[in-house]
Amino acid sequence: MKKFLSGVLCLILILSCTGCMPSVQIDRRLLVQGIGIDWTEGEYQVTLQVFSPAAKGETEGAGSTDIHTAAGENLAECMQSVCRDTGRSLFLGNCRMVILGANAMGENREPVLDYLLSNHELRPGIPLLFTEGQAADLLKAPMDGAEVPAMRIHEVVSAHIHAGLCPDATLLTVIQGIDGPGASAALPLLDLTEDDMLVIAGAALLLPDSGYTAVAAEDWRGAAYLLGQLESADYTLGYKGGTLRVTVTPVLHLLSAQEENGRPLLQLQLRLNCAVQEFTGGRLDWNSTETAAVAAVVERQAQQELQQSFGLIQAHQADVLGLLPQMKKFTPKLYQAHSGAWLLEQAELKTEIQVNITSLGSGARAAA
Amino acid sequence: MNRETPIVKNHIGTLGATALVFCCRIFYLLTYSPKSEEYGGSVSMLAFFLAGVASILLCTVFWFMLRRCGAHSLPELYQRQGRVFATLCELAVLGVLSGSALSTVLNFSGFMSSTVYPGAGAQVMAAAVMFAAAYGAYSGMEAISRLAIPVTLVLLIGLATAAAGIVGSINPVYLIAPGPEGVPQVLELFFQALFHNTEVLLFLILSDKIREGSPKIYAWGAAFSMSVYQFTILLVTMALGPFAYVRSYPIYSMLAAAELSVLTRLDMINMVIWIFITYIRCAAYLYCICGCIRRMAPSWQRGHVSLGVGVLGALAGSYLCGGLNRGLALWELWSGAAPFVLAAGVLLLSVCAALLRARRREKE
Repeated sequence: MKKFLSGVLCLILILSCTGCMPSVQIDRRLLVQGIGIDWTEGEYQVTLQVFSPAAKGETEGAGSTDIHTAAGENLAECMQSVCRDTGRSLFLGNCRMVILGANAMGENREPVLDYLLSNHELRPGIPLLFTEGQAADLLKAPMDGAEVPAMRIHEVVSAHIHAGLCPDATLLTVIQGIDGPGASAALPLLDLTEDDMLVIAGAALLLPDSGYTAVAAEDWRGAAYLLGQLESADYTLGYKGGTLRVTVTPVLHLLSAQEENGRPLLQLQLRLNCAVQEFTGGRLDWNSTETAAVAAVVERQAQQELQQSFGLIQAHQADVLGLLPQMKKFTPKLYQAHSGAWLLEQAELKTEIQVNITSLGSGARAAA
Repeated sequence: MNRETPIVKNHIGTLGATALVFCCRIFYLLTYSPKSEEYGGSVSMLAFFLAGVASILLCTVFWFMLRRCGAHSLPELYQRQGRVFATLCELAVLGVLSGSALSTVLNFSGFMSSTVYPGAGAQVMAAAVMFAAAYGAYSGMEAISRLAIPVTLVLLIGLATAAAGIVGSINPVYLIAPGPEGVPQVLELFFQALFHNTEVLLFLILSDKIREGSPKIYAWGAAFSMSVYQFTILLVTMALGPFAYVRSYPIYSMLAAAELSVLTRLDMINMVIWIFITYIRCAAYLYCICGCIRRMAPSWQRGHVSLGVGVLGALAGSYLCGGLNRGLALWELWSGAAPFVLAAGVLLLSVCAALLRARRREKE
């Protein structure tokens, strides 16, 4: 009897342990790959790019994507509306990115970010992207007869981040920036060309006053140096009447803030490894003088980009470099004595760049 | 023939006991929430450090008081003071232990049903944990403390892996030393942490069952848990920055953000460890509850008492998890000084009674 009762108890426990939460079969789920959030005509519009096992267009056998849209007063209502319309439950744990339309990130910035934060399935590391147009259009942008998969957009954005052409932004970093003393953040800026091709246009700086400003991709590279986000950059530089093609890889990046003569000073120590890939338009004698001269040209270029980006960021009063948190920690007296705007305006950038020519590509050797 | 296993004194190993104290104390780490910048980072670290040191001092003082009265554990001390006094003390201790066990289950099921499995039945979870913990209590303290050793090791490996996954996001700028203006917050968190700590009582109840039972074991367990607290809060503060203040469970968020090339999210791995920690903490408290009941009713069998405690615990846990207001009511009571005052009161009264009795005997 005792064994029988123990057996029954074990069975009840085993069966009840699997029933703590409602189970949803995979075919009853909408596996969301990308989310687009817009604000149009006084309501939110959510566009979901969902994985579909059925092939579409020329992507035969590889699966495809479906688009679902819903509009509502708040984002939770939009999501519920998609669930109701499709009869399936959403799964956001596999979502590759969230594209935010400019209108949704204006006055409604806070509720949008609050919704993204409250959803437990969205990782803190989920990439956030920005567009001046409609996020829905980007998720519907065609490629090979079907929508560009979110995975592909994510890969393209990652490549641009590594090349220093747009910022690296996730839910974590955007909240850190917006809830930090600077109340600003930088997001990759996406755009559609006239023939509906998706392009990475640079960076969108979210400003403390709920506005934003766009920075072109080529103007962002200096900021990528400052943030330590650049992995490698290719340059084509004019040198001795010819053209020099080099690849630059940062190997050391130290950014610190301090006070100098009552003003904030941002100091960057940067060490760059430089591989000369090619020189066209003449012959070079590769000796120590030549390498030093090439290093000086590269240093000048980097210096120019740094100052240009810093000037732009300063002009827009967007603390996307994290100057104010640094001032708060390292120079608290100066931080407390002045407003954030004053500190950003008065800040000066001092750089110490060391370029090390590490290799000569086959093209450069031929020219030697 | 008595089929009960006889109570063998000094049968918990030193390492097991240290791991047990560590697991019980580390439980609240996962639900740590700094609320705002004023309570975050270095303020929490300083407050928890001071609370840990204070608890070690309290444990040492209390333990020497027990030894001064010639007792090896708190129950032994108050049992000597007569039946009525002992029953009153047992009831007070029972209240503190029950509150601790229920708050463990409440925190666990609340956390799981809010973050890991939203929409899951918190009541079912609470009941399942209580039943499992009651079985743990029936298995005995040695089994629970032996389990605490591998769980501690796996927890440390899990946290180290999470640290490796989040190291790229670390920014020391977010760690700011608390100034004089942070003193009220430090004090508030200090008392909160000290009052939450019922492990001193747990240790004093179990001290006669620990081989070489001395406050050193509690001190090691507490110091070790304190170090892990400091390390984890440091990591959360520097990796999440202001993000930590907008999350209900920032440590869980950090684990979700930590990514290694082969493991995309580390929160699920860590969840398994936390389930075991909940089990150990709850089982340890239920074991002491069973001990209390059996001291008041010595004729009741261990198995029956464990089952009864499991059923009552599951019912109480399910009831409290059934509505947020019920759970919060217990939590608000538990966040105050009541359990601490009750536990300290039992000990001090017992010591006073013992000393008075000894003096009276000397006079006679």
